[in-house]
Amino acid sequence: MSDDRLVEVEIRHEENDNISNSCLGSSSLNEHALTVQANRLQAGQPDSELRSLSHLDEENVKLLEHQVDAAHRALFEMDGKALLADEVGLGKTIEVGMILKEMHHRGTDDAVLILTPAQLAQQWQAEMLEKFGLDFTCNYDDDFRGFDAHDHIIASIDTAKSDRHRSTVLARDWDVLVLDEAHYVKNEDTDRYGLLEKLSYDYAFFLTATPIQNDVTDLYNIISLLRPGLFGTREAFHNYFVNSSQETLANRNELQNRLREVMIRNRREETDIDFTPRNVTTRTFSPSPAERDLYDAVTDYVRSAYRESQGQKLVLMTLQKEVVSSPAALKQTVERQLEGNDVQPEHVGPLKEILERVDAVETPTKIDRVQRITREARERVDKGRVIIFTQFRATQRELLETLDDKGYTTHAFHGGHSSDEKEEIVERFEEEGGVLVSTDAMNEGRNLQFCNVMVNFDLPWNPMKVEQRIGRIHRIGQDREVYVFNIALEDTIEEYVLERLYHKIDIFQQSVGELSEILTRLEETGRNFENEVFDRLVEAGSEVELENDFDAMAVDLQEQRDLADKLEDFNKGVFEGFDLGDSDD
Amino acid sequence: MTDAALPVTGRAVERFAEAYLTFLGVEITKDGRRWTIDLPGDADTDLELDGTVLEITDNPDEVSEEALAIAPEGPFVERMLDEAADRAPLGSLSLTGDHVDIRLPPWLTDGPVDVADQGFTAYYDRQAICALFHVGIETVSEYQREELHAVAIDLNDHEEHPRLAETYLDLVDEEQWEPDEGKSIDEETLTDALGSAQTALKSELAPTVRDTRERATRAADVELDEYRQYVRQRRDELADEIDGLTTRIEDVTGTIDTASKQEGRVEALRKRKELQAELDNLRSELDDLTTQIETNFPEKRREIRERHSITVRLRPVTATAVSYERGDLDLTLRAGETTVSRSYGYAVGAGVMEKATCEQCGQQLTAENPLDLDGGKTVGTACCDD
Repeated sequence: MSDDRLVEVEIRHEENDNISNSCLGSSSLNEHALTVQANRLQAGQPDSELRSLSHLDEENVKLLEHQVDAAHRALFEMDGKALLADEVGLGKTIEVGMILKEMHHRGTDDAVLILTPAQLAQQWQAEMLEKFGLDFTCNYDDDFRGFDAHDHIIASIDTAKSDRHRSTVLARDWDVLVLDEAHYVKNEDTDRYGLLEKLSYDYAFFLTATPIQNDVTDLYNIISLLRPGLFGTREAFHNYFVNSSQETLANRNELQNRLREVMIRNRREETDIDFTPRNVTTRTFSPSPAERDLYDAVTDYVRSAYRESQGQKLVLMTLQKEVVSSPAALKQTVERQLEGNDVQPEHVGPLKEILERVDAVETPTKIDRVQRITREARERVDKGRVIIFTQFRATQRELLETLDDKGYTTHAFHGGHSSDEKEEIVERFEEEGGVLVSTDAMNEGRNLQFCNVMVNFDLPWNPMKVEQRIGRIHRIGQDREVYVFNIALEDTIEEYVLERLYHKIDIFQQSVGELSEILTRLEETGRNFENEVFDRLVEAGSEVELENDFDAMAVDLQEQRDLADKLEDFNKGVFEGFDLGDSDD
Repeated sequence: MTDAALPVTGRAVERFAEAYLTFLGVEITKDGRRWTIDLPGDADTDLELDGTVLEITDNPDEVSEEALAIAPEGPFVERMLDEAADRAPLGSLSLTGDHVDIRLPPWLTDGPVDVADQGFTAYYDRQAICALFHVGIETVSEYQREELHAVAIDLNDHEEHPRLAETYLDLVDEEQWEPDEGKSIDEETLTDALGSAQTALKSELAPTVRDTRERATRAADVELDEYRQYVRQRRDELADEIDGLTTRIEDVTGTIDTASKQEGRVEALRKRKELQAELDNLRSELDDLTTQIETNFPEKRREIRERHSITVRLRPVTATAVSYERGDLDLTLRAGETTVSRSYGYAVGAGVMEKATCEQCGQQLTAENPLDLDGGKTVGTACCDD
């Protein structure tokens, strides 16, 4: 920039009356030294230590050096406005958790808004509470009463921008704004960008592993929300950083220099994250004739009931999940349906028929087989503690009874326990060993790395939940190989999900970050994983159609994954050599 | 130019509080992190302290009701710093070889040669001013900086000595420091030295100021760009409005031409006049905007750039007259079997004062071209070392 284009500068040499009026020799050197030190402390940055770190429970969260460093820089070197752009899987959420914890500690978090893609909102809520003790209200909570009714909110960005909430979101002055997956807000012509542009906030932390999606101008849009003016005008940015003949990046070093003021990017190879191998085995068993009958009856009922009325979707989905979990789980729900007032007369017959078929199943195949897997695992693995996950309490009870009868030391873990009780259960499991049978209430914060064998007795249709289960034992600090066993019955929805979807896109080997990227991409196309699975099941006209539908979904997921990988590679290229720390020159 | 600000950690604040209270004559009875204070009646302070309990904490809001918090950003600490900061801005101290370890230059420490022996012989005292300057760089955009810099200027030749400033800051920050008072200086000398320090500071701030100017200019450009977009949008709206009005005037003219009654014609004439005035106003506004667009908004540009202009304020806050010894540093240098002796002009606190050169080619020795021995000669590792 030439000097005549720059704004004016006035340099004022000011007198200091205090010095002029003082007389050398009138005070002691000790007193003078105290004055010097007082001035130095007054000029110093307010304590730039992360004071809240000592208040964190290491049992709940293990902080890594690059995460602490990122939180520190975002808060103290970037004045609380930063783009956290670590590569996938390095813990950007943890970095934000630390930042928010510190702000809470310093009392600068009166109003905090975290905006995320819809399917990550509740995971954020759980992580903030369990790892950092930060209590947020989520827009999916029953007691959510709007954006003006709570001070700490986690919400899906699309809820925040909806006509219903937009005005209340914009009416507030937020202290802190966190935006997860910020690359989905890169387009300045969208409602999402419009919302962000109008939001009033003092501090902002944006997260993305791939700041650039389509072209380098994406960066301009995201950074302009954080630091207006850093890149000048859009035209100037485009002229300087985009090689317009080939639409490629130009002046990369200068771009990185400017970004250094606002962006932090840790690379996997520079961190000390190291995971042990993960060994995944899927066992599929033939159902007994009685189980097959039951499965077919439930699937037929679900299909016809859904075609009749889609209002019952949740209950029908539950029935379809329960039939592959255990007859006991199914029985409980069907009985409740029959006892309820809103059961339609034409459904009573099929539901009663299902109950009869439940009673016809003597020993569920999965219950029988899980004992063998448990025994094998305990024999083959040193200090083989085993955790078995199920989605349903009734299945859990049945598993516990069976394993107790066979003489295993068992522990039960579910959402009905108080937090102290949960603590005690995990401690006992660590001390006594044996088998822990848990529902998905086993949450993020629980540290079970002393156990390295896990059985998915039944399978959530949301891959993120599967990864969360595995994440309880396969986490930083786990020093043994991890064994994951999946159990499914042949020709059931569970087998389709496992074989056609999860294995095809290698979901059991993906990190949370990679998965969330794929799922968010899917959500961007207006779809939800669980609904997709269910819709395919109920809408398929024949077995062949069902298989084809699931294959098509796998292809779709694979495409999203390939796109995510491609973007990750592209961003790696752009930010190659991006300095982690302050430049010395 | 040396950054003089101290990180405001809990430990730094605690240390300062103890030193300052002790200086005031306060008797401190410590019970873990609680201090009970006994302030003498004649203590020269406005702090209300007698019988108070002070509590060392991370969080000023967490102390018990009767206690004052010693914590970064705590109100009591702020008051104490305010009082101490204005107390004695002028002072003097003496640096001798007894106070300060010998500082070897990087062209020696970064090279392959060992120092087998070293000794400093003081020949005379020099005086310098070590001054702390408050530097404020202000803009309307967000890039505001408040900094504290230390500058050391020799009173004889008015040369700047950054390493002396560093030594000075290190000494003042030392816990076990027992300094000697230095020689006093007169007001005129002090004023001259502060002037030289300000000039040195200004030239060293130049890159920072330029950087800030560039950012502020970018912010101004963004604002102008937004204004430009607004004006273009308004121009398009005006053009539409003018079209609409022109059509309406044509319609009214038609009414005038065809009106059969005078009353109707007069009313239409009045209406046309009204519309014409409105049209003239819009055209005038459009002309104005078109001129602005064609001339690239000179007034708006000036107004925005003025608002984004930068003010840099340099204000001395303390000045210390530092007497420091100068003399020779005698070194015995060894590389392998070879040993040589050399003397270099040296000043306590400031280090070697002369530019050392390669005895073979005359190139200056630096951290990148450190000293090595070649036979009996001192040579540069990069320029002449085989």
